[in-house]
Amino acid sequence: MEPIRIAIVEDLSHIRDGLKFLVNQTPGLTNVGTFDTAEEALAGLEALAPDIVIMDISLGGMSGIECIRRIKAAGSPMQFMIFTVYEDSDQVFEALSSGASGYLLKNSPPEKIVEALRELHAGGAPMSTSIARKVVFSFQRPSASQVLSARETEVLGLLGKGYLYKEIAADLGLSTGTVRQHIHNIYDKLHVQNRTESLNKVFGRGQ
Amino acid sequence: MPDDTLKVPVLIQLGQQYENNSPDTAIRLYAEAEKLSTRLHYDAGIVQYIKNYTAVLNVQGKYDSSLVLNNKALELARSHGWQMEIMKSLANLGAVYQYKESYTQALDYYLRSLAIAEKLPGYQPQAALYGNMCGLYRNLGQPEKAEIYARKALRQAEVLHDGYATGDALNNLANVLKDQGHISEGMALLKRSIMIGKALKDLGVEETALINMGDGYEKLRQPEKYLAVFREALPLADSIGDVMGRAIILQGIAEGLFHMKRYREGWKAMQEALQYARTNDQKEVESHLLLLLSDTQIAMGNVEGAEAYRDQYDSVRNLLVNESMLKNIQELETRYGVEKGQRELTEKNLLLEEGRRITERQRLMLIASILAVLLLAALLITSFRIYKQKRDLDQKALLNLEAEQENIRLRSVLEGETRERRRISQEMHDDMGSGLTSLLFLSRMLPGGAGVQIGEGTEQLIHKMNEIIWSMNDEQDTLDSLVAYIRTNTATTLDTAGLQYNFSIPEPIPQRSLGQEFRRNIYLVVKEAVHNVVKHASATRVNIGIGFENGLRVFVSDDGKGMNSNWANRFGNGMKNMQRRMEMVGGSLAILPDDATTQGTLAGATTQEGTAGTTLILEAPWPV
Repeated sequence: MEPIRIAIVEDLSHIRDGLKFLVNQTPGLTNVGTFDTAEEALAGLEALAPDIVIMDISLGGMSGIECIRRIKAAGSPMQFMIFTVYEDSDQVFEALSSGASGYLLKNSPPEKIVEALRELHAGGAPMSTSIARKVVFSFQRPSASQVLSARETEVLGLLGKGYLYKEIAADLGLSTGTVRQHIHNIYDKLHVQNRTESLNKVFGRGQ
Repeated sequence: MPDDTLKVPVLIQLGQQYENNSPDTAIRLYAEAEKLSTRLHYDAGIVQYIKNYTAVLNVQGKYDSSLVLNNKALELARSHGWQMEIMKSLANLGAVYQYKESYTQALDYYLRSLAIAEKLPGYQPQAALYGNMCGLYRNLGQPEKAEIYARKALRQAEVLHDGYATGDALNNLANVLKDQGHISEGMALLKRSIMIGKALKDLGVEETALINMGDGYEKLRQPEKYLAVFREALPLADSIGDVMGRAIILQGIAEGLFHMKRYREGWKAMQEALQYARTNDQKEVESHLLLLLSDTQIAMGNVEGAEAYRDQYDSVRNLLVNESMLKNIQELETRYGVEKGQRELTEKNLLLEEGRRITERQRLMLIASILAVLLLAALLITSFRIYKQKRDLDQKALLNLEAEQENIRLRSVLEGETRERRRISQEMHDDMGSGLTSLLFLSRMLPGGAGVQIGEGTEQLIHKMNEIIWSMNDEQDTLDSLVAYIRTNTATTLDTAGLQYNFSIPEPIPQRSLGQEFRRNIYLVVKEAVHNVVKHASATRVNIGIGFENGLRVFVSDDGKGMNSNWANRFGNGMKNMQRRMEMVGGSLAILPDDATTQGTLAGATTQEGTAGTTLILEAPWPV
């Protein structure tokens, strides 16, 4: 089986090297390139064609979020994993809305990082309680253009209440993998919605 | 003038003269009218007083006081069977509800008022009532009905040759036509309205018409035209002190400049408008301006700046959505009550009407004509007294205005400071976060035990930072957010330690706002308690329950070693900390079963059945 191709965009060298080391050390993963600014990443990622990009949210210069937005707007199948200190911040939600498919906490132990990368590649994504609540709110607005399925709404609701993935899985009679796949699909819908909104905004208010 | 019921309408008439320029004087006069009427048991005077006083209250935004008084007038009118006054009180109540944006209730009252008006022989409802109903139906999104009432209002005003009412009716009808897409027709009516406004020197009518013309030209996408129109309207808004109008006009000017691609000028205009909207709490305008600023940034190629404004726009819109969601819920709740009550009331009204055939109306007419003669004399006599008092009141009004301006200035400084503080704290955390992460990754490259220890310690630090961020984030200041956070974190801890656990949390979780200190302290105490169970209790199963009656109650019970021998070991210093935290939120901590030192049991505390071990109970009253 082909190893998962990972690219890294991170401006602090210790972290960048640490991640690169971890990825190359792990069987099944391989590092195809590293960048230390969003501008360089924007220029070079297309050619590299990685499966997953670990993107630091706090870069100097152009922000990671903007880079993600542009690459996803061009229709690229690359998946973005945000690398962040904070789980709860608005920035994370903004990144997820703009096209990221998951996030990694910077204080995650190495095993968890590997696990998250594998999960994302298999179609599953993580979501915290507070992000779940923001997502719910986003889909409840009158201007929301996307609709969640019944299952997705259930998962989102339980996440918002603070349930762990395995609890949700047990409650709904699913595997944790399936739970995370539902989350992945929710993020996809979030991306579409966000793009539609931006288009509406530039071409004229629907007020 | 002798104290007499005839003095009451005089006082009221005088008050009406002052309502626009010196509302405090007007209120004083109305209050005198009320005192006099009460003394003389002159109910008609009280009703007059209420009608006029509530008009001032409405302008000041004191809607609930206005409702109370108008209901009192309604009762008085009913007790005497004065149909005209009943009808007017119902219409006034409708108007207050309309100000409060409770449209369904407003409509209900207007319709009841109209129902009575139609039964009064020879009486025509005022054009103003029709105008209000037109506005209501527009708000309810029913333009066809709105148009019917707008045309009724216009016909009424023209028949009575009432210039002011005609101007208002033309504005209303123009808006309805614009709603339905007949923009040019609407514009023609607005031009007529402006001419009437100029002829009558009624700045209010002229200003409203100009603003609506601006909106019309916006719909027709003619920025030069609407820029000109809004600029014409601006000095009018200032003259009459129309705050909302000014905000809308400034927004319109900024939009015009933007659409004409005069970005630098437009930028300045937007900043000015934004400042004004924020200072005067005009959230709708504020949100439109933020979006406009974001678009300007995009046009000038600054994408990050655009994002920043977009974020601010989202926050303001969230606030508005929340406000309107709350209103919608309240609307729905009252609608059910209203529909039921409506039926009962119409039946009662019919009965009352049948029972009363009084010539009250004719009597009042007679009094009114006598008054007209006496009024002139009275005016001359009292005008001298009033002149002196007015001078004193003007001075007081000026001082009040200055104090108010100072308040507004201080408030915006404070808001600026809060925003600055938040920005600084965010930057500090960003820096700390990067530094700690660097440290973490470095430590992983160190061989041996030291590296592992540093790594674990740093991981913990970052986790603690996340907790601080959570506790400082005021978006999470709700009870259900606290419960979810407790749940996630304790479940993770217990799951990692391999213990079985169970949560009992009643649904639904009540809506409550908590403060930062409360959230943080409660969360930390629960976290410590669970931590202690994991480390010292040798338990296999933990139950965590949360209750919401009369404050927050959390209990953590485990089936491990009991307290008797391990009291000190289990908690030690940690116990002092936990108790201190509970004291800070005005709550208490108790342990069951207790040891030699009696803690006492808490009334109504419930524990899970069959647990042999220990239960820790926290209780805290809701923060105010």
